[in-house]
Amino acid sequence: MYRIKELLIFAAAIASLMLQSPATADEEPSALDRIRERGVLEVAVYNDFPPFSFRDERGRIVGIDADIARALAKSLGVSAAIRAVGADESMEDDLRNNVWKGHYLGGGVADLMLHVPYDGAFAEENDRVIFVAPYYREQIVVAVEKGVGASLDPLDYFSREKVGVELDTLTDFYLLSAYNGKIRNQVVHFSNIGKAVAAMKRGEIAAVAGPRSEIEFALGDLADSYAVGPIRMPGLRTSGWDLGAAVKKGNSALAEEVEKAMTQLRQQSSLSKIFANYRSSYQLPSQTKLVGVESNGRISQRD
Amino acid sequence: MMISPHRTKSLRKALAVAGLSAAVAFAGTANARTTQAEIDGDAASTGDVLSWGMGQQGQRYSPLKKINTGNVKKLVPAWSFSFGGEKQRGQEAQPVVKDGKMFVTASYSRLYAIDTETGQELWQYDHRLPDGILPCCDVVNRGAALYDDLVIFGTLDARIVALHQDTGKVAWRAKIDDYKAGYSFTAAPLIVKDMVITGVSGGEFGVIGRVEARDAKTGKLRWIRPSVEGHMGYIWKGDKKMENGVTGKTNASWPGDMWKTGGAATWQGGTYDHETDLIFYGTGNPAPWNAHLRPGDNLYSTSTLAIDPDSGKIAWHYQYTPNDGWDYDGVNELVSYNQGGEKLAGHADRNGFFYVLDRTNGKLKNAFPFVNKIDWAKGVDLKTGRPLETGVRPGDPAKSKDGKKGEVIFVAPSFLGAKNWMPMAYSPDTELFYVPANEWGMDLWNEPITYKKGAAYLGAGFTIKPLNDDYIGALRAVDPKSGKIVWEYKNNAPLWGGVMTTAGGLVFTGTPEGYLKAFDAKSGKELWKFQTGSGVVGCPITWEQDGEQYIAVPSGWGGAVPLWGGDVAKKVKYLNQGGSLWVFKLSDV
Repeated sequence: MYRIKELLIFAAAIASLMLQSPATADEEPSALDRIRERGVLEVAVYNDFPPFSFRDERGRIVGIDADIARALAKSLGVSAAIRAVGADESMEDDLRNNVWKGHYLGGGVADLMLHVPYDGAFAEENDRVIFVAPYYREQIVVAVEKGVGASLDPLDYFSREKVGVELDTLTDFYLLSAYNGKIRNQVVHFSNIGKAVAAMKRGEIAAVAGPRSEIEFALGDLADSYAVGPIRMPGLRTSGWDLGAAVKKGNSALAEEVEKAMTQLRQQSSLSKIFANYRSSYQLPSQTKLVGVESNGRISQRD
Repeated sequence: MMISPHRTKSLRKALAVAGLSAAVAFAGTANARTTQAEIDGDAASTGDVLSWGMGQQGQRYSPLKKINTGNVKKLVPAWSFSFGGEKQRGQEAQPVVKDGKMFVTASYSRLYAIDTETGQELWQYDHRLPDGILPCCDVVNRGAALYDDLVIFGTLDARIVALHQDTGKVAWRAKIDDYKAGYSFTAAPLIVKDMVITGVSGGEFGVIGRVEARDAKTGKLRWIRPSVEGHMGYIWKGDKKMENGVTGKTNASWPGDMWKTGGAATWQGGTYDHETDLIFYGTGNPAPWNAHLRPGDNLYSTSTLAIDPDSGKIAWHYQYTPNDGWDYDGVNELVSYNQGGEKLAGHADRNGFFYVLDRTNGKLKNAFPFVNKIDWAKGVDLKTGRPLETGVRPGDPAKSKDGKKGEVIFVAPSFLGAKNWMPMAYSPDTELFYVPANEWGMDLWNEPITYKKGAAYLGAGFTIKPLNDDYIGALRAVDPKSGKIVWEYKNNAPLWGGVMTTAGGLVFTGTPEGYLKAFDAKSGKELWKFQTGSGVVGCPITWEQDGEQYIAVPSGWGGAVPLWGGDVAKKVKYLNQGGSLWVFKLSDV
């Protein structure tokens, strides 16, 4: 059964290939041509990263990013090959390892990477990739038991109560340094948000601070018992950021197709449905209407 | 006379010449096993190299003098061996030699057994590495340890593997930790009291350093000693795991729960001093990188730990860089030596200071710079043992007002260190340490816009910069008593290979430019060099076989410099990778 489905996808890919006008003979085939010829779009997503990309009981990579990758591939008339990658020390490393150069251990690069920040200043610093298709906005929030949420004064509350964070993240560093370190001793570190939320459910800590989607997914059935929302974070420079996709510089035809496909997914509400499937509320990226992408990878104002 | 029992030809010759009895031949077979007594006597024995450091005290000194200042010019290749395959990158190993067999590790967790007479491969072990390992600092391995009929080494996926010396077949293997959680292992194991002693690699991601002892015959754990205060140590009585006391005192030098993820990785090999019966293990930088978030000394990061091999408890510690804010790992080796009737130990730190400790109690005896520029401290207070800081510390990112790129500070040494992992040597003849130093600094600033795993992050930027136009590397002869630099050899590229000294009055080390070089131990005069075809970042050894003295060194450029070196990486971009072992002896003509 599965095989037949694969064959059908393959046939569809061939058909879509035949409909296209062939590239000029002396031209190198573009990345997009090669993807269509292969019938496969290879997409890099982070491993062990619920609700975006993680393995289900059967070992299949599922999650918001995995579903978006499959939906994008479908729009391009190909199937998706999901490459689950480990996060290196910085986003620059991840883009080098997975988008434009490949890791020195080998394995090459993927056609596309998801969960890449869509930020003009960051794009300026990373000119070997094209940043496209912003698809949602992540936001730092705090989850606490209902009733506390509305009136939460961070300094007062966290001087008394313990707050869980994911180790080595913006939220972690913020809370350790906020109010001149006054709440530092109340910060409890976990290797991921899932574990922090589990500790909160057990009553070991009073709150969890971190990215909204990860917290909402981890709360699961108990979401109604907790208030989830932004709090006052004096001195924190960034409390939200847009996320999109990245392709290697030079692959502008692919970038444009991905941009188009993502816009379509958003307009058809497919994105919000995918987020809802993973119990996360969908937030539009702030920049969809404002920026476009030039072939040199720079993000610019669009009229 | 040397008997090499595995080679029937030599054995027959030995029997014929000496008319030896069958009983001696039997003893010869038994010799093929490496005993703890042989390992403890490795520094003095000349027919083999059994341990990391050419003796567990780590002096890298050989009493051999057949090759000496007078004849070193006649050193020629005896044979060369290619590690083969497509895998190259940094070759940082120190080979070991026993009974006519050499065991050398190579990049990507490979191990080779080679006939030392012919240079022919006996067997090769390629460790199968899982997908998805993300080693921070190249795919190096620093060497294997010999014990009994086993050769034991660690792998990039944080395993330890014991192979039979004769066949290369696996005798036992053990998991040090989960590579998916950022753990790895690249150092050479240490054999102490029939135990194999290892640490853990993995600089970030909440990794906690620890030193572990396993039964060298079976791989079964004997004790675990964490390197960060607050963590429980364990000891096994038979098969029973028992609590063995917390390291340090919880929350004495760390705020909140940060000790739980405090770093201090024990990623470099340790040394062992049989005179004081102590294991010396260095620890890495504390986590997270921003020192402002973890006020306190953050024990026992950036320290040497002296551990009792029987109890698995810390006898003493010395911390080089309290509340480290510059990424100055304290993992560099502590080398035991005796001088003026005192039991001392020397350590050349990343932070630019050379430390002389009383190795019976860890008290500071002397500390002085071994590089020309140190910005972060103006010295070390010999009374308190603490650095006299200048205040040149990276700014607190939380205090950046406008979210723009923070103020850039320049500080020397760079985080790659005044001396990195590459081991120094000590000669009891000259009473000098030979230190492979580098003169470089770094620009440091807080990055307002960084991202990690797709999320906004507070990161720091850095660029490593040379301090001089004409050299970065400097092999320095250091007098531990006076603190004087007796001589220096300057090298264009950063030095990244180990050093060895001999009773022949020689000092050997390699250069990234591809040379193995020999210097006069007293004057520093360069006496000999040989171009190996790729950068030398491995550790040279020497041994005697059939009446001749041999010298061996791996060749293959790589390691952390090309990956992390900033402006320096650009400067050495032209260097080609490789993967081979070179063996030298004196020319017959």
